[in-house]
Amino acid sequence: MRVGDSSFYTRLLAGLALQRQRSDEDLGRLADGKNVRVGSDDPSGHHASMGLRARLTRIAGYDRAAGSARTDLVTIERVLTEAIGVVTEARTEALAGASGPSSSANPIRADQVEALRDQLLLLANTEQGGRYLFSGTQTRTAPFDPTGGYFGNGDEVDAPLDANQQVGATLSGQEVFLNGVDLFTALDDLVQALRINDTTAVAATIPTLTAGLDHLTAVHGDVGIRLRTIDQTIERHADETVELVRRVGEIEDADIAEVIVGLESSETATAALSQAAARYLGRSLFDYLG
Amino acid sequence: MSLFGYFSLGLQSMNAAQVGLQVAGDNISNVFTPGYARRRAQLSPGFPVQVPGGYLDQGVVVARLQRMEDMFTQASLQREQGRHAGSEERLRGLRQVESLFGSLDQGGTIAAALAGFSTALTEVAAQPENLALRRSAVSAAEGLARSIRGTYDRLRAQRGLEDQNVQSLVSETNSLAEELARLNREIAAAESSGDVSAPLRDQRTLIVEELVRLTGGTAIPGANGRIHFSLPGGPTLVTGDDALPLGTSIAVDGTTRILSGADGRDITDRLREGKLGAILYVRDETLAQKMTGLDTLATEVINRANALTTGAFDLSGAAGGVLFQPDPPGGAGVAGAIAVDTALDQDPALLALSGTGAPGEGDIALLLAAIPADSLPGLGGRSPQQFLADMQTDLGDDIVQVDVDEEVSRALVESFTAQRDAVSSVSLDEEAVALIESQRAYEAAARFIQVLNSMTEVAVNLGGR
Repeated sequence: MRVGDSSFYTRLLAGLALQRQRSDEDLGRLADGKNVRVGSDDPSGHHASMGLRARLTRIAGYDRAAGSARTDLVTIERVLTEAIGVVTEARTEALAGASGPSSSANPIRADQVEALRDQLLLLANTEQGGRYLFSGTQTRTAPFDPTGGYFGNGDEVDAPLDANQQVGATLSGQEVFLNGVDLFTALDDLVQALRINDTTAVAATIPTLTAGLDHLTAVHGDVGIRLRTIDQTIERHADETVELVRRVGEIEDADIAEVIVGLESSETATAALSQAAARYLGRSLFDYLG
Repeated sequence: MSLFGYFSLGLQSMNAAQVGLQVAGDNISNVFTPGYARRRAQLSPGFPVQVPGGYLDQGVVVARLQRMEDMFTQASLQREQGRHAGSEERLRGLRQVESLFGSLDQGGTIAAALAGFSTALTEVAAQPENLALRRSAVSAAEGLARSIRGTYDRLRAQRGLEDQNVQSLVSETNSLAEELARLNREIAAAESSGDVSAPLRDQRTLIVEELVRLTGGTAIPGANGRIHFSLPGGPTLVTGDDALPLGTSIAVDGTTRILSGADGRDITDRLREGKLGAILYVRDETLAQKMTGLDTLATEVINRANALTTGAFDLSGAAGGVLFQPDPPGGAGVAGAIAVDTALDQDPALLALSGTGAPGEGDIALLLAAIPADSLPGLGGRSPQQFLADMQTDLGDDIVQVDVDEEVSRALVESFTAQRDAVSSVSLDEEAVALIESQRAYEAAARFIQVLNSMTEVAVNLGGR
């Protein structure tokens, strides 16, 4: 085919522009290490990556909620441990007060049990970060008044751990301290019995306190299970996050070695084109005519 | 023929060589001139005369100056140039629209804001009475509204820019149409003698190529060297000596409509080729679809969120108000107006997150947090996140397709250009040879005259003896 002089230049410019465009694209990939940034880079990859990233962010949200629930439940667990200690101590006093020889010390025991009751009330009204942990979902209301009257509700604050998975982050004080066994009334009865040195009445409080202790221990165990659930979920999320990040990287990240090879290839092609242009372009028969 | 008659034959030969030299010089001068088609002096033998023994040509004459052009290749090239210009322009416009949605890593995008909204509401669901978390949730809702609004505003601004481009291209098209009609008139006048007016045709080729690139229209050869030009879909822009300029009007939505003919027919929707068609496609289809898509997304988010919060209770246990304005959303343009209710800005305790009125109950917060991933009927059963991903993927697919079209079209333009140049472009090697040929022909003719002169001298001297 006949080739005119302008065709040489047109082809040279097109070739140089193409190499420049490839180098620019490769440099962009090298700059941020990404192969997929927008939909047109890889429509299906971009779509998949958006879904994976949404899940990653959602997991971060769940983990934050789980973290806050964990903080509450750790406190509740500590409070329950202390409450068990308080009731155990009261029961010990009841056992001692119910036996004949030491009954003369019962009025002193009454004062001790009264202090234990106040301590239990304090524990039942535990507040953390502006929320009462034993008010159910009435978290801004102190659950118990000094008489042991309950002002919370029977619900629990549900903290989300994942889609369709929640964990109770607070407890109902009614469920913990009043359900089955009214611990405050039991302690009041014990104080009263000790104060008047009625050993029969004192003895009568022992089964109640034992049942209360069993109940607190069961609740404590339930809180432990909740904490384990949270830990397992966070652990599962960590594993899932690693996998999601790996998949996002697989889709989005550029193969740096490939990019560098591409850049070198463009550079070589540009150099070859330029050298050829310098050598051959602009030459014609005129250069050889005398 | 007499001996003296041969002098004119030599002169003719020298003249023909001079024309050859001039043509070569012209070609060399215009070796890189855009639109220039090389010329060639077509020589032919002079009118034959009878001599004893047969017929002899009377020297050489320049039969005509040819403009080397392959009409078929030129037409193919122009058609492809229109497609290529359209693909390039469409690609530019689509890439700009895509950039308005941001990249995967970029903050402030709608996708990031939806995720942020979900995270903040999930977190507050575990501690609904926490005012700091409530403030974060309101702030995340504001972030979501701002990202939708911002993207919509940028799309609207982009549509405005594309509209300005439309006006500017219509004006450019009309100028070129006038120019083409003028050149048609001048060519018809210049070529009435039968000669081809190569310089005018060169100019006209450039004008037609530019018109095709702008509109994707078609040049149709007419009588007396004229060229008619029609737009895609049939409307005529230039008919022979007359241009039929395009008109414009402003539609209700503020966009420029393109009118054709004396009756002012609206041809906007028929123009989808060339630069103008590409801009109209981006303005009226891509941008319009994306803006409508964002309106739908905003409407669904507002409806869903407000339905939840108005059926719920705030931190004080009072009946909840709306989360987003406008309520009800309204329709077109809602994505440009979506905002968090101002009351919540001032007091995040008013954010209704409880289904029962208990301050520690955050079921509604959890439902709000799920909105980005919830399947919503107004989004065709897709979630806002899927809807957004689909919207961006559709755009990405469109760009990939146009990118392929552009590459194919560019290759075809290069191929047709090479084919056209094979006929029309100047080769300096050829011109060097042509120069030598003309020079030799001139020298030979001069030598011929010199010989004639000697012969004449001999003949004259015969009488003198």
